[in-house]
Amino acid sequence: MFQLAQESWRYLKRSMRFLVLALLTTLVLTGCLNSSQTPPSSKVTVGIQTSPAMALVMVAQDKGFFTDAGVDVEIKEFTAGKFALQAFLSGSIDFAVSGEVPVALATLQENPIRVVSQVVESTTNEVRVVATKDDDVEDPTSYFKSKKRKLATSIGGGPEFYTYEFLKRYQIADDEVEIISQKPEDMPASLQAGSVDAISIFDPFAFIAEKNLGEKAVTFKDPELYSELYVLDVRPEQIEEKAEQIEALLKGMSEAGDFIEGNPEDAKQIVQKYTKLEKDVIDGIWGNFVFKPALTQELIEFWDAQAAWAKDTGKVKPETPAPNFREVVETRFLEKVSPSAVQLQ
Amino acid sequence: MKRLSKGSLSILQGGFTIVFILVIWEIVSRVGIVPKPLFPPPTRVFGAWIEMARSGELLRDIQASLWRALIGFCLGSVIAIFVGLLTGRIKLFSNYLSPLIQLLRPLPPVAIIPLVIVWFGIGEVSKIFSISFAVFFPVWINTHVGVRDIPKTFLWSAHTLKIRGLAILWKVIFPAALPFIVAGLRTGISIAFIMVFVSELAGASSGIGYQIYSSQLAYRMDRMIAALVLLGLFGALADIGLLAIIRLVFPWLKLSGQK
Repeated sequence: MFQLAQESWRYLKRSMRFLVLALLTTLVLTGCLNSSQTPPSSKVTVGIQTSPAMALVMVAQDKGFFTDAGVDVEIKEFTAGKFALQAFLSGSIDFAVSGEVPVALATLQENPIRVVSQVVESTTNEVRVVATKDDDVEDPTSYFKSKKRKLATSIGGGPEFYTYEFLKRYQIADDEVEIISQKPEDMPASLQAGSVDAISIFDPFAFIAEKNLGEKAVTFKDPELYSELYVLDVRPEQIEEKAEQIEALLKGMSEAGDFIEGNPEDAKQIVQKYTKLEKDVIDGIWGNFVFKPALTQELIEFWDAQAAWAKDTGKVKPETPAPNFREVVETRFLEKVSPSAVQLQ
Repeated sequence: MKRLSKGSLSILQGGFTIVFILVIWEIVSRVGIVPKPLFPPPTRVFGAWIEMARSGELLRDIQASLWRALIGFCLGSVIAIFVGLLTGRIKLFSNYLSPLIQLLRPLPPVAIIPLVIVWFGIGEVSKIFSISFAVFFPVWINTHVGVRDIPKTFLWSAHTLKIRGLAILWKVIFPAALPFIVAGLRTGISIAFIMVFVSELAGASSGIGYQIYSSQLAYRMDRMIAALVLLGLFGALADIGLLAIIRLVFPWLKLSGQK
């Protein structure tokens, strides 16, 4: 037994040397890669979802408002804001614009984020449920209770939260509907093909689904329920380190807001250039957004509701304390650029 | 002096590496070299397993993924072996089928998923089809080559012994090609688990792949890593299980590494 232990120890010592060397090499390489990912300080990278909701950022970039304000911006496009936020949290990009739901979820998991502005003052019916019509049933409760429906949604974002609120509002139990996770861009085709009975999603995909289905579509919307907001995310240390760039970003977006208000058709053309969406789609959804930088009390209320939702649905452990979301918001930059845009209590 | 047996030694070495990595991982995460929310320690990952087991999600997701992997793997393999036996032995079948198969073979299985969804929807049929499609090619190519390259002396001996028809297939061709077929099946089973993950990203409400994706979006890295480890574990166990079944059914077959 003692000899066995001696033998084992000898093998362990030999293995240890090799493994420590391998680990040190990995750590050094990781450090080198991380440092090489940080872009030079003269330029900032901003991750956005390629969506009309990002009009403020797209117009500011296209018209040179960011440059005029004193910041050189490189836009990195993502298929969804939640992926931009993940890239931001991993340090691959300087800032991100995402929906407010991923920020709530990330904050609940103790990821350090600060929000300096919304990129939409408000939205209306931006998230809604589009379904295949069934026997002229127009009321959501009857529709979903008549048989078990398949409802596709984009999880981890505003649509999933909307779905939760929608089902609660219309008293549809969990076992009365099958929730399926799908990418937003797949949903209109899925609905049209009959793979799902309904989709709960934001524009432009909700609009595209309505357009594709035509008379066969029924839309369930409730303006008082929830409509997604989009926010500019920064890291806590950037509040001091990149204060000038953040202020310049907000100045650029403020200019963009004025431009959009005065030149909606030009703004739509810029958005079309970025998103490659058809003009009639952009026209159809434009009225659902108010493109102005702002910080509204609605943002804090949504976050509080989302914290409760996250606990209720097991996204966070029940014992996770609800953060004070007011502390996530940093108002000083927007107060300087446009004081009336800060509407927090 | 009693030396460790080779089996005990390899278990010791493998176990040591795993324990070493777990300890380093725990230290790196706890100390904060990498941000803890993005890189939870293994103790938290273990806690996530417990959490998922208590909520019933673990069993639900394992059942869903294993069922899809098993059906997809079996379907893809059976068809591939059947087609491989045909194309490997009968020139006419090879002439007609091999060019089409070789054209489809380089297609990344992941790339066909959007098309499969359009054809079959987002239900189980599309997932099983995707998995079977991906498994088919490695199993087919190995079967085809194994059957095609049977030493002629085997077949001459069989003719001399008056073994004809299906008997020659079962008693000579299939056993001779079996090492190749097994190699294809082992590749196929790994691909099956990769495709289970990929197919569950597009239109699913359960499964280990779905759990990985939904945990990532909820910033539950502990659950995401727990599900990832589970996927890898089941892939490895499936390979071990496959070899055990083959040894049971074909005890005479010598696999690589065996003396």
